[in-house]
Amino acid sequence: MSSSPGVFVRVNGEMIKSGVYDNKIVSIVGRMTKSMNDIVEIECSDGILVPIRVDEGFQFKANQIVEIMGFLDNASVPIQHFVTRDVGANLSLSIYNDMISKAWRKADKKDADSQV
Amino acid sequence: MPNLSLSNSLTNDTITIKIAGFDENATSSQQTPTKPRRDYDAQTLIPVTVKMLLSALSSPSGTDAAGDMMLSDGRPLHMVKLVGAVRSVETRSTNTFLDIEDGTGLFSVKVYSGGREDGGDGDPSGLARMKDAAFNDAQYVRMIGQLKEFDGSRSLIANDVRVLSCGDELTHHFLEVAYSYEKWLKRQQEQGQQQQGGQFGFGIGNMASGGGGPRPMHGGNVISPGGGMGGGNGGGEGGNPINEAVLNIIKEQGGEGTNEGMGISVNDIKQQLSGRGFGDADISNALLNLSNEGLIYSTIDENHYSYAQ
Repeated sequence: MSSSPGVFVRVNGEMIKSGVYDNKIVSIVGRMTKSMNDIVEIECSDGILVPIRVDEGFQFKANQIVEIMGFLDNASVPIQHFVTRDVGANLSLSIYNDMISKAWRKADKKDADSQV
Repeated sequence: MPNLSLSNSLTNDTITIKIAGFDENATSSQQTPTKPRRDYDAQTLIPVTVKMLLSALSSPSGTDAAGDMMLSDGRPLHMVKLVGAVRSVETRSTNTFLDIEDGTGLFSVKVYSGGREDGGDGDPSGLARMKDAAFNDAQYVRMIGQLKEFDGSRSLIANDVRVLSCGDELTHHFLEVAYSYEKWLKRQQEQGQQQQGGQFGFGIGNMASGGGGPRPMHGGNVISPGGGMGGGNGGGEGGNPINEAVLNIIKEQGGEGTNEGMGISVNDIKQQLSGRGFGDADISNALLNLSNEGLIYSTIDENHYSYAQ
């Protein structure tokens, strides 16, 4: 895993399951739904539920919308959490999902094309 | 120095008072010299990402050590707006350094500790409290400031830093970045078409200068090789149909001195042109273009114009 500092991909459930972003640091913005020992389930911005492995001191608050930074790998629990950020109240997950799936990815593609 | 005379009708005494600080021989224009019109086009606030700041270029016009900067797409930078997460905070006596990341990169932000005046009771001002609230790890903040480069090192000097008011502000910022760029691109393309065609008699004066293309000419007609709109006749001054229509109305009804010098109001122009299919935004753009070309000028406020003869 190598990436420039501060560079990470904003993903939703579909993007996680696609495997395109494996072995990268990713950011998931979603709603915390369930907590089971060291696994927390997040409802991503596209509605897909994704389990995240968390550390002991992780503070779970049901229905809170947070941004979780983690390392994505191709495992049954695909994301290893390392940072949680509060993105503030009243975030519209559907609009955020549109933003990352359309505007953000389009910008990424332009960058990729320009580097070819 | 002018005198003010007061007389007492009962005693017939007259008191003369000299009024200081007033030069009666000065004309109004000497007393209030006309300030140069502010170049609003250059005073922009552009929403950016960290990557855009990292890839910004030093403008060729910058000569001092700090240097003027411009984005890689050619937009000159004045003030920028950035939204990102605080990764680290380092507080010093006179300023605070933040490392901000937004997914496109990591950037250093400097916030001066000014504005910490309190009411004398040790309680920091509201502004200081707002800044302090933003200086916490792992939270999203919005900042407005200027990009500076000194000795090869780049940082954002933030005038304002505050925590996001709501989560949607994060989404809104990235969408605004994309929208701002697309709008700039579209304007560049439209300009390019106008410059190539030579069809119109003027350049768009309100376009911010940058590396995108040749600077438009002001002050009237650019004679195209094909003759274009020609020069000197009234029909060529306005350029495209909407500009010509607006200009004609202002000429007829907003000449110098009409309506006690107020000229014609923008609302009157819009009412007269609404039946011809011109929208309010088109008319506003036309007024801006004509004003930049020096063909019209605003009188009592930005909603009244007169023809510049």
